[in-house]
Amino acid sequence: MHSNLQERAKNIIGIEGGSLGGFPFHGNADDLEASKAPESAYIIKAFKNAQNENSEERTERFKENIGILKELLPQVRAKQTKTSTYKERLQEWEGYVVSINHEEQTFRALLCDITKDKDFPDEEADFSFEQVADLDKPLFSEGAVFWWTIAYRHKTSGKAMESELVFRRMPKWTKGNHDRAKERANFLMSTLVWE
Amino acid sequence: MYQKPNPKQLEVSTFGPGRGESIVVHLGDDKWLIVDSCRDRKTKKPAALNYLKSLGVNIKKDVLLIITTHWHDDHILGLSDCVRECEGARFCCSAAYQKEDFIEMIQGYSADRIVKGGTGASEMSQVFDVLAERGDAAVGGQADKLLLNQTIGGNDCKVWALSPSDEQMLDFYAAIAEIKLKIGSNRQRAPSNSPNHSCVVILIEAGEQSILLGADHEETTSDGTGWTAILDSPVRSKTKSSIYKIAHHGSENAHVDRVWEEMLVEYPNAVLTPFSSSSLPRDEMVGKILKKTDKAYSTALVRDVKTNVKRGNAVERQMKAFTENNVRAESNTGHVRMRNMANNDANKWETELFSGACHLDKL
Repeated sequence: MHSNLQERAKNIIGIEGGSLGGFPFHGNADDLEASKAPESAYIIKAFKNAQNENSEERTERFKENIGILKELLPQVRAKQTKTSTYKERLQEWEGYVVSINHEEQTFRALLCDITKDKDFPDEEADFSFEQVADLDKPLFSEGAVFWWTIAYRHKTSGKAMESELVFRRMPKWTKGNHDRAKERANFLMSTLVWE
Repeated sequence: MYQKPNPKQLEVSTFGPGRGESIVVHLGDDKWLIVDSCRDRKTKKPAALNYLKSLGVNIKKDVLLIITTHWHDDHILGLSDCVRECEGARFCCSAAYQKEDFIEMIQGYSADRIVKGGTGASEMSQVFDVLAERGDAAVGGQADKLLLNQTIGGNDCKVWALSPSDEQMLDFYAAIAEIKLKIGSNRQRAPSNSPNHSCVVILIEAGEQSILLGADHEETTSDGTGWTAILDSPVRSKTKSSIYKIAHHGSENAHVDRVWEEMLVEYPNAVLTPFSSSSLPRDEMVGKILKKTDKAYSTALVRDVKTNVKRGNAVERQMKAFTENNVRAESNTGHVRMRNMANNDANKWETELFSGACHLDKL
């Protein structure tokens, strides 16, 4: 693979803490290289989501990144015949950090089950600081949102169960967001009547 | 299962699923208040509306007032549904929420609905949207403000806000400035700020009865704030309440002996909603409360309720290994109901427990 292109792809898809066109990406370059169909599904899904977002800037950035990644795909697919691995998601939660106990090196999180076709009640659990990946530590704080996934990792040699916490690379608060919030606030200030 | 109260009866019903709080008060003559909102664990609908509908209350016209004591998730989920459906109710929140900074802050944290499950910020934002759409006024609750003054069922009924004080509102504005989203910062759920500077403590006087709803109000060390500010108010009604919704889930910071001595009758009926995320109330506080009154109840028993959701064996093994086997479910939405005639003796409140609510000594 062209080394410059590979570096650019790695920067785009999360090794350095970036994101796919401004949209959080659920993996890294090694996953992308090694995976079977999902990388194209990711790209398609993320692009559709980006199109639905009210951010022209994000969509334009994404289109540029798509171009780079499409160049990678034929090379990725060529590799797939040699090493095919993919994830079979069994259970997924979206959680957020409710409180942090520095003394015991644990944090408490509220968990919403987001597994496809399931609608279980919310749950709560304590996690150890050790469950937070080094790359995610800058994102770790009260209120931070993460995904907890339990999945089978399928390899040509067999399958293994894995459990992973990934903190969401949430979109940054832009000037556009700020201006829209201020505009809405101004409207409410002028409309709401207080006794 | 449920029957309406007698028109001359007062009722205080407290709902709590282990993380959440909502109170419904019958003032007499089928007129009701709702204070705070939580979603029922099973139906996901506001517990207050579930209850009122089950009694056959005409929620469009017979809910007089909806009060949100503060905007934290556990006191507000489902509130916008309550405001939307109870069309005839006036809405009251902290006067501190009139500030542009606060309205802008909640717009920021509710933008794009980026997290599942709803947040306090998005609920508050939706409430403001409903009020703006309908052209309804909001009532700003603050220290010593009379929110309701009516004759209901032949009795004088007054609903007072006892907080926040002016000093607390200033502290609140400073806290909001700290947590407002800044351009370039990563989005996340709004952090909760403690102590809770903005919350509205409620005093209800109806007939001979008095009810104190402590919200999440905590004691502080600053002059003019906390419970001391309420206790020292020269304007505050000095009636002693026979029902106390214990402040801040029975936390130590909210336990003030002067409140029990000066604002409550001896051995009042007390109720709290636990807050599992912070393990409240702690054992030590349960002991302190039971020394004040043995008529103390919790809406839920939340000690280590292991999750009862059944998943595949392989998934459950991973869950146990990853979290040291401590994934916990929300409790059922428990319900503590207290009823008494408005002109009866203060010690004649009758308490009933539903759906897992229990005496405090079970915690």
